[in-house]
Amino acid sequence: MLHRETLALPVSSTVPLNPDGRVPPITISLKAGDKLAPDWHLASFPRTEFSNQLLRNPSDTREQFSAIVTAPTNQRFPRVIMNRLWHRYLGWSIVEPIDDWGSVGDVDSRLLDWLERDFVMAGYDLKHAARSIFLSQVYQSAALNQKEIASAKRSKQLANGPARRRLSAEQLIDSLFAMSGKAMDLEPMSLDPEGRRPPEQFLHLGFPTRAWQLASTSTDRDRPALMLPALQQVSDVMMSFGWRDSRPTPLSVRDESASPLQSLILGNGLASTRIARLSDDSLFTELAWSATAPRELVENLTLTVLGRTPTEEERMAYEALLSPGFSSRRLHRSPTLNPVASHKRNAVSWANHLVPEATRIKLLLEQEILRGDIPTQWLESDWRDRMEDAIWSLMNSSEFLFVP
Amino acid sequence: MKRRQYLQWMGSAAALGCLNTSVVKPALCSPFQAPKIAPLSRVGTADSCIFLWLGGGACQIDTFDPKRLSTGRKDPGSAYAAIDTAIPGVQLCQHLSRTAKLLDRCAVVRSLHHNVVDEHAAATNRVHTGRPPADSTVYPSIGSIVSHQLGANGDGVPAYVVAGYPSASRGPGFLGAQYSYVYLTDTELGPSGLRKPTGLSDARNNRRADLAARLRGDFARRNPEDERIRDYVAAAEAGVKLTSPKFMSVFDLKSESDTLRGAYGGEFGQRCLLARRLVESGVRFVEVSFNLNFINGTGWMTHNEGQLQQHVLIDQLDQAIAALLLDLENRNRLDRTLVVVATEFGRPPEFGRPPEFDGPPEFDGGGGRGHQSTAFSGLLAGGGLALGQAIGTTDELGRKIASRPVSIPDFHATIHRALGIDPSEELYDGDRPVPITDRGQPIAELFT
Repeated sequence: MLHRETLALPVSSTVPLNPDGRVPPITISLKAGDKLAPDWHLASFPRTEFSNQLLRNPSDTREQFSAIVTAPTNQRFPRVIMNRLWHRYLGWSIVEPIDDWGSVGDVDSRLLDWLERDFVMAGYDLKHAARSIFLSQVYQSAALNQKEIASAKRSKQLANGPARRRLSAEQLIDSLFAMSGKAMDLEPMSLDPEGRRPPEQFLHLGFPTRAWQLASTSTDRDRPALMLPALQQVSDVMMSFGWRDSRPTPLSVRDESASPLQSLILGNGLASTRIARLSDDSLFTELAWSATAPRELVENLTLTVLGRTPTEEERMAYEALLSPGFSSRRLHRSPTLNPVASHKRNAVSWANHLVPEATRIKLLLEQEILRGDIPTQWLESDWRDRMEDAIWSLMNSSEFLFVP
Repeated sequence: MKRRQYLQWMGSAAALGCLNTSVVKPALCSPFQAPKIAPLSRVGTADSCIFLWLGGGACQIDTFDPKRLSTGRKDPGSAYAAIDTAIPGVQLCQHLSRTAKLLDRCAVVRSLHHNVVDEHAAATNRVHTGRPPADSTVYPSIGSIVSHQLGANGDGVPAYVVAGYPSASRGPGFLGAQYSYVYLTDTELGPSGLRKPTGLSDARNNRRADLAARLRGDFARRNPEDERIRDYVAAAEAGVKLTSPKFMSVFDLKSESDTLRGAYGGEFGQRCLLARRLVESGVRFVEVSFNLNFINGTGWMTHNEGQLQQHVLIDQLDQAIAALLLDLENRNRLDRTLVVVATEFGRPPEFGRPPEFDGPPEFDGGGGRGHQSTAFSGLLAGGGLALGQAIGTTDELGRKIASRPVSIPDFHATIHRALGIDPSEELYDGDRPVPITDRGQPIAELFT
């Protein structure tokens, strides 16, 4: 399909004849080196339907195939896409499994019909489709647990609300940074996942600003000078929550099992050193500074982190924690200290990493990352510690991981 | 996620599910015959494995397979003289004198080989996973496979720990994040995920933990019908147990006597001591990396000046291995612990730039060695194997294997067998069966 020309069958694609002389249980119809010509198997789709109107190269079978797939007369394509989008946003799908309709065929669904038409008429616009879903009543209804979703499925009905779902690894990281208002500030990603490329051909994926941009740190050479501690701290969290740094096979649904390491890696790592840390550049610092009363602060804090107001017990516990010293918490608001100079992150690269100084720089950097962001001097330190603990606990409450 | 899945992570043995098989990839295994493992009269008695990783590619003729001495690094040969050992007829480099006296507790494997020579990361990957990387999946490392098959050897401990940097080669691949490792780069501080962040007092840690625990409990109580929430809250609570003083005290090396710590020697030795403590606490597989910032800056990658200081490195290795073997023996744990010494490839007998090494010229203008994967050495000790022997021989300068080759899959199969794992097992990548090694056969001589 890729080359659209005659292929010779490679040796690695054939089944070896058994040297023991046993009769094989399968029939071997192709030998290594056999020539295979491309063949058109989409007989039910007329070849010439759009060839002269839409295609640049009407004789190219791949172009013909793409025209067939994306033509408005092909209802399968938009239905599959809308089913996947529905699954992404609501946590359950109209047709299952989302990546293989072979065993179920198409499903008679007025919902899917509507979504399909809406999507196609908007010019196959994913943002429009997302907006349609978000503005719907079902999306905004109360979340259902898995038992309720399963029960609806068994009665061959659509669930009347979204599933309660766990944040994906990327959503978790992005939420943490968005909440605290901090920039990711990680090392540039130059990678070579399996050590197969020579240095001149390493990929450079730039400076990540969002979690989806992360890739493998490819540290197989086990050299301290090639470590990327800031990136590692984030990718450790992501990997424990089901992100994959190497993706030879596609996955429609990730493994989202709970494991003890998740809360530990997040809580003792990124959450402590950066997100809950009240540095000058944190939105939480601003929140703490500008609050007029502990009650207001606790309410805003819970709204920011968990998206809801605190329960009565929570209110009492956090007000008890943050009231002492509240009125004298504000110190002199000096200009922001210079953050750890980013250029230090980039002092070591492949070209100079074998110099002993490179290892020393990296080890120092690792220590800095472990110490975390510099705490602000604008707030009295004991009160600031208690505020950080409050933020940390809300973030590590397990509730933070679930939406809605 | 079912409760039993994370309990499995914590302590009980893993159970392999039975799934439908589809077509086996021909390159790995003929579909007409399962890998026939020759019947062995003896099974290993190891319940845990300490895997010492000499990162950089240790030169075999300067360590475990000495040859004739080179004159001043002008002609090919060993850089050091050879000495007799506790195995009659088997010699080691003179700088491995302590290990030489204990070699009867070891099997020296001199005929390891693979075909990945140019690049360290690729060779590291090959020795850890036993297979070339595939385009359709990610293969698991030996540590993850062992962790998957056997689980941890106790409650409240992880199954697989790495004293070194995290890398994909050490990872679980298609087995999934459940079979990944906990890693630590600082022996004193312990694993970065498990230890409390620096600068936080006990009082603060307790306060945070209490508040978070209350919120979690309330969250679970408000959603009694939601199994996923229950699983996540339970997992978080299990995590707290994992950082209990009981397990974290394993990292407190100060509780060992000064004499013992002195016997182990430098940083690598301290990691070996930690590895012993980890297996005693129930960790199933510990990989200890001989990092490249130890001592001579380039580690075992002895190009140029690295070659000059290699004897310091070998001496550290010698001290650590000998201390580890004696320590395990004194504590009656050597039979139950398989100690493996491995490296990504060896080095040729020539100094300077051999014609077959096409790396950058600055690498060997100064009289170091290139890479060689056609023949190199590894070591196995303990584990209830038939020890006190050398497996495989190489030619007069250690360039080619003369007898009894041992492939990386064979090496892995031997490790599996020593730990009581059946080397003819199959793993499952989704519903696709993958043999536990790529047609590897355990070294029969070690199981007689």
